[in-house]
Amino acid sequence: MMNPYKVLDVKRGAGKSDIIQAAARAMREKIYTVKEIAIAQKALMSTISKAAHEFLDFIDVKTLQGQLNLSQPAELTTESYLEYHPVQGEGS
Amino acid sequence: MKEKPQSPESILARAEEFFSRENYLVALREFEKAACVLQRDDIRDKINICKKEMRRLRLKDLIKRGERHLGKKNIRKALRCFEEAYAIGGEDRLKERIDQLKENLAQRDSFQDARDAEAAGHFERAADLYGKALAGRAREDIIVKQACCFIRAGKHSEAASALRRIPSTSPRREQWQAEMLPDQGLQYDYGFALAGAGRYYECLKVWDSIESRDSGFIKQKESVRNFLEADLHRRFDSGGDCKRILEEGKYLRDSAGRDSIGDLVEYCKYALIDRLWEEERYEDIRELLLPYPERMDAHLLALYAKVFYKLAELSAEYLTGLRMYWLSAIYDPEIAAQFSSGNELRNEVRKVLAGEAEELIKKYNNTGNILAKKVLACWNVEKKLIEDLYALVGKRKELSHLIRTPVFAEACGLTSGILSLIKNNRDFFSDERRYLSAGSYYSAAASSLFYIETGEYEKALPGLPGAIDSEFTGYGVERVKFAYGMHCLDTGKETPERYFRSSAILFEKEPAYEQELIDQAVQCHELDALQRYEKVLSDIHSRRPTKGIADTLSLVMTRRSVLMYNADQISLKVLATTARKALELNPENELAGGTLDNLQLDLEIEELFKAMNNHKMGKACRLAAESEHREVRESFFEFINDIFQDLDAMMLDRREKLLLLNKLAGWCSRVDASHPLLNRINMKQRRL
Repeated sequence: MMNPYKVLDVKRGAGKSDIIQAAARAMREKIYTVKEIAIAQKALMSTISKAAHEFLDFIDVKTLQGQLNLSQPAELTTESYLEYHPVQGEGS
Repeated sequence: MKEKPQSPESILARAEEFFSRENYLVALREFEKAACVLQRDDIRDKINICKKEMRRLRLKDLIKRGERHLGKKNIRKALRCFEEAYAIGGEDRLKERIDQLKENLAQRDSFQDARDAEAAGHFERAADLYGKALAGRAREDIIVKQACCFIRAGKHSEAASALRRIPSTSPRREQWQAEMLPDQGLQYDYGFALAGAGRYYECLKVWDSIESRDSGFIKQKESVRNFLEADLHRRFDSGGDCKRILEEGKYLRDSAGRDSIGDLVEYCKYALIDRLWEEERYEDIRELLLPYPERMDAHLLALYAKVFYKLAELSAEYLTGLRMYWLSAIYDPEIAAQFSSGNELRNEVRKVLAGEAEELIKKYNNTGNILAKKVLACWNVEKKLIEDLYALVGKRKELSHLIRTPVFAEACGLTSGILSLIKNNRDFFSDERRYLSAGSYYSAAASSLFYIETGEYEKALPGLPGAIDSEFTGYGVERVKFAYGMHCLDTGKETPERYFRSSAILFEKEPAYEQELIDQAVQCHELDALQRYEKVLSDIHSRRPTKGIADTLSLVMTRRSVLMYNADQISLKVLATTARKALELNPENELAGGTLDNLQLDLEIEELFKAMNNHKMGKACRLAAESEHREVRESFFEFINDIFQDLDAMMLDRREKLLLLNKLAGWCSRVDASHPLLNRINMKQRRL
């Protein structure tokens, strides 16, 4: 199933008038077939189908990212000096 | 003989001819001869043209030879040709070519010198010579050679500077390292130089191949890990490439167990997933999502579900993933809240989403895909189960995490919670069957039950739990054994009755299974299968003598014995005994009744002939007289008639014949005094 938002090049939450205009634009641009555009428009004009596509065609990583702690541990030093300490391992 | 002098005109004519053939060397000689005699401008012009053309051709030839030498990698010879050509033509492009070749030659010489110096152990000089060989270019292999020479010469900071010129993502780096760093001492130095260049990740990768318990080294490695972690934070803050931060962070987290970097890694992972989603690179996203977490909240579950939906659209191989996440995701109240604020609309959207996924599975199933067939079988079970759980949880938000399919619940360790939920809400289920069935799919017998659904009987049995830990497991085990037993009945595998030993309990809970067995048995008409069904039904009947089982056993045993009798495998008597037993089980068994009726006649005729053949005519008369079957009497009179007909042919005297006729008349009158044969016997008697 093609992503109707990509076919019509509209954003999530686009209103009905936006969708109709986008369908007309898509017809002129001829990137997709008339059938594909018609299916995409139909999918987004119905409230139920539109909600289903909003779930199917978009992901929300912001919420997942928002749960993460990005602060740097205080014990990490910004000093990166390393003393030469030659090693003679078992394999040498 | 003296040569004949030539005229200037003929010399000129010959010169022109050579000129027209572009043989300028001979033409020039001839024109010069002519010019000595004829002082003409046009001849002088021709001489100049010849000289010019000769230069041009020489130039062309030299360049061609130069290119040929270059093709053979003979730079020195090529250089000589180009220099000579430049002396003739003086063209700028030739000068550039010559300079480039001289530079190449110098680099090659330097490279060779560097290799010689390296081989001789003069590493510092080798490093300098490699630097000259590089001559400003970024040949990664030579840079690594130079860095290694610096390291061997103890010049770590110079090595670090050299290494900074190579992209850290260079694909051949590890190969060079293996070739050029044969011992751990050098590997340490190389890593040290990398760390000096701020390439902590690469340093750690190099040092990972060092097997050393040297505490100083271990401590130093930990320091580099700290530097890397700090560096990753720094790069993230300054908008660094998420993909690389993710790769290095994952290394740090997974190889060194640094949980402190975990969140940053996850953040970058999600950022990358977001980008890949836009690019519709779902397979790449799936790889990032591995390994699948044991616990996931609603948002993560939604992500997994969507990715596997998109993947399943591309290939049937991802249907298992779709099954794992989809229903659990769309029935999750937190996720469903995003569909709509209204409950009714939310349910409609859920229905659409469930339908879309189901259609996808069916699409593959219709093409004969085996995996799709299995997934669809499980899907149909899981859809009902999750609908029940959804209704059961209702508005109790604290329990919403338990609205999960069995496969997802098992993966996330939620089965015990779901089983408690079902157990504590027994009244929710309309009957015990639904209650037990729901629980069994979340019990220890769940995987076997799903194997039964998918028709994978051989996998179902070994998967059964060793101990029955709950009523749900018990019910599940009974169902699996029953289904496996049915499979054995159909296929003739193994001894099916052993799998029906617990079926009496199952039938008590769910009579539909008893009916299934009955229906299958009733439809059976093959001798081997009937024998199997008879054994199983007889076994079940001894534990659960219901009318249904008794009637079916009665029918099956009659069918079986008739088939065996027809195949001469049992005697008439055995058939009759079986039919009588069948009638004891079900007096209304028409087949047994009819069979027995037919048998009675055959049996009586058989007994009649036996008596007659053994000359026990008293018994024969009694049998014929008492029989309800006309045919028995007819057989009797036929026998008597045969003797009567043969009377004249018998070698008997008159007295003996009369005696025999008396006997025949007596026997006939005992059976039927009105039989016409008796009159004929009496007439014969009178005639005699």
